[in-house]
Amino acid sequence: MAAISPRLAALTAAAMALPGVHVRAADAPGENPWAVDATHLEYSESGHRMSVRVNQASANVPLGENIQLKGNFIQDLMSGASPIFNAPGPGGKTQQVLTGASVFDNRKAGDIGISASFGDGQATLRQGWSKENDYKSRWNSIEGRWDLNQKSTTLAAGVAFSDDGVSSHDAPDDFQTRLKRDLFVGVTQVLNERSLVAVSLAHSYTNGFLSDPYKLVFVQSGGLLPDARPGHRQQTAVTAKYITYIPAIDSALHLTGSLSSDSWGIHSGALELQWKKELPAEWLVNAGGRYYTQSSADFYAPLYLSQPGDLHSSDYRVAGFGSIGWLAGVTKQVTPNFSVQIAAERTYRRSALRSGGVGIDADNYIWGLYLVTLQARF
Amino acid sequence: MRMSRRHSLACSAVLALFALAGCATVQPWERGTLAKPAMAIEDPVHETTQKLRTYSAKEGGAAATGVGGGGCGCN
Repeated sequence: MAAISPRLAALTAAAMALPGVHVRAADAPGENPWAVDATHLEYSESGHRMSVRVNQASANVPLGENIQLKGNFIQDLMSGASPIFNAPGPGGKTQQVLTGASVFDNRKAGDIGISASFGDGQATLRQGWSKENDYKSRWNSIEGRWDLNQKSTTLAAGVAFSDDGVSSHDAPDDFQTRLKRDLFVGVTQVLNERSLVAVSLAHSYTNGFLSDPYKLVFVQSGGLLPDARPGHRQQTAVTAKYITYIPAIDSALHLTGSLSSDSWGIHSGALELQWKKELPAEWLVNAGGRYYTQSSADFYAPLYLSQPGDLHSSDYRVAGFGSIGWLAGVTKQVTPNFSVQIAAERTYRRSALRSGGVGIDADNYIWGLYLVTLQARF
Repeated sequence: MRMSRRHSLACSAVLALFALAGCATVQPWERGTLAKPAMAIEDPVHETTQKLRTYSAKEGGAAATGVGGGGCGCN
């Protein structure tokens, strides 16, 4: 039997950990069980709308050979203006009415989890919370993963439950309940020596107060009404990811597609293509694009000529629209234990790219995000 | 909720993939390419968390990307 080079041995050892893919918190225990990640992110929107500064830190700590403790903390500092409703503008063209640049909030969120490995399986239990002036959330999840067929196949499943409270600046202590249950199943399959595919199915059921307390609708025949949406919502989504290595360009292509449908009448699709290439001196670069499209909710209208029914919303997020964006990043492995990642994404929202229903050009805008992450592994 | 034809097809594809699981085996020593950093099936976890939260706050659709994560009153 021919001797195996150290590099091939290292790659084989890493490959044995594959796929290990579906559930974020269920990372396979590897040679570096201690992990610390820290991220700073800047998000901004065109037209002096919302901007957000995010700080995130997380750590994985081994508790024995088969158990890992995971902790994660996020702080968001939000400020800027947000659309409230639409109204007729000059020449009868619909225009947005925004809040002043006075919106400010400080969100803090965190979660803690524990993962246990047993044979080819792994289970992760997590509990999290989130709190800001007018929104609070507590959630629990349990996720499992099972490797089959010499790790050529990974099955994954998870359930989660969240109990949220929604209030507004006008009545900050009057929290209304929003409950969400999530179910997720997925399978990842190694197809051949340089390709793999992952397909996932998710379903959620949400009930309670699902309207936005800050949104209004304009009624031409007189006055403004508060946003009013159904008291329950079911969403189903399918996501497929195909990754292949192309020797001719010494690069990997990542193609991800999603379809979703919900009981509000919103049907959406997304397609993302990324190119990733390793360069000498432990650099990894990636670039790509993302296309997204959705139809409007059944109860959406930009504005209402006469008194609407019980359900009505002019929120730009339940309108029909599409978007196209680019994303790019670079990662440098500085030492075997330390890496730095910089990533950016910029997205152009356009009502003309909607897949159905109603949308207006006044809702068009651009958002961008930029992040820096430091990763340490021991 | 009535499921659209395309979603029925997508769900069928998921079930078919489950059924196919186990049909193909690539031996561990044949997985050198799959182990390359450029082939990692997941992006760094913080990048994924932040991008999914942005999409969730700005879009009405959903994606099947896992469970867990607190809501927010994102505007």
